[in-house]
Amino acid sequence: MSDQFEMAEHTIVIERELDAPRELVWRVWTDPDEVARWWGPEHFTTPREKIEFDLRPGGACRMTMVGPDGVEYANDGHFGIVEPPERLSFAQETTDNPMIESGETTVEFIDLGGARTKLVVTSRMICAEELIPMAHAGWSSQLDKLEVLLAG
Amino acid sequence: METDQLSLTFAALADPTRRAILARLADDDDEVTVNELAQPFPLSVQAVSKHLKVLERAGLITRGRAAQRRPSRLESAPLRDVADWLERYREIWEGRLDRLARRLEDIQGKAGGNE
Repeated sequence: MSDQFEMAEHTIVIERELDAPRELVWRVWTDPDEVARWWGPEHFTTPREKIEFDLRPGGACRMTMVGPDGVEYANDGHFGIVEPPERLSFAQETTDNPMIESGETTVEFIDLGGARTKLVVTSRMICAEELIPMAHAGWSSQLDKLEVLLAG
Repeated sequence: METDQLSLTFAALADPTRRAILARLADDDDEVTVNELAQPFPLSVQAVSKHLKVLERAGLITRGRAAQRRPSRLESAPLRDVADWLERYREIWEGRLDRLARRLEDIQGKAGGNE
């Protein structure tokens, strides 16, 4: 049974409008010196020496994030789409979480004119399949029902 | 939920057999015995017992006291925390884009809002 275990997708889409010209946003997103300054995540650092970008399709995309307790989380992957300054995608082959097998993130840089840029970040995670129903709102109530059933 | 508890939950969930056991328990209306749980797996009852111990330690299941049978049942709270954790991925990205916006402001020598 365990070898039939399937993975499933979970996608989040995040949009953000920025007061900066598209070329600059592209550079800040793809230059490791810049990425080290903002990638994070919160309370994490991504030191410059732990970022390795080979910015071309199939090129290496490696970032090691360091947690507040000093624990390192390696994210090793490759760039997929590299279309400056419009589209970038990168896939992670290893992640910091056992439930997430891999992930692919696509970033669209949309020129809004007037030195403004809209980002559309689509992050597709391949997760253990149980995570998907769990992540949906219905699951909590389903489990609540189950709890009531078991308690009764 | 404390990080330690969440790590314990994730560690327990990291194994596909244990996830399959949980899925089986989620399907079932009732408590399930070790023998019943072991049936679909190419594993000994002892091996399944070991997995159940890990799940029990992580608070993902509770087990009855009946000496021989020790039936298992699913506990939903830790699973809900995992679902919440997945949603936190969105928060990680929002925070990341906040910092990107601030960096872009710094480069352009602007003051004021985040966007």
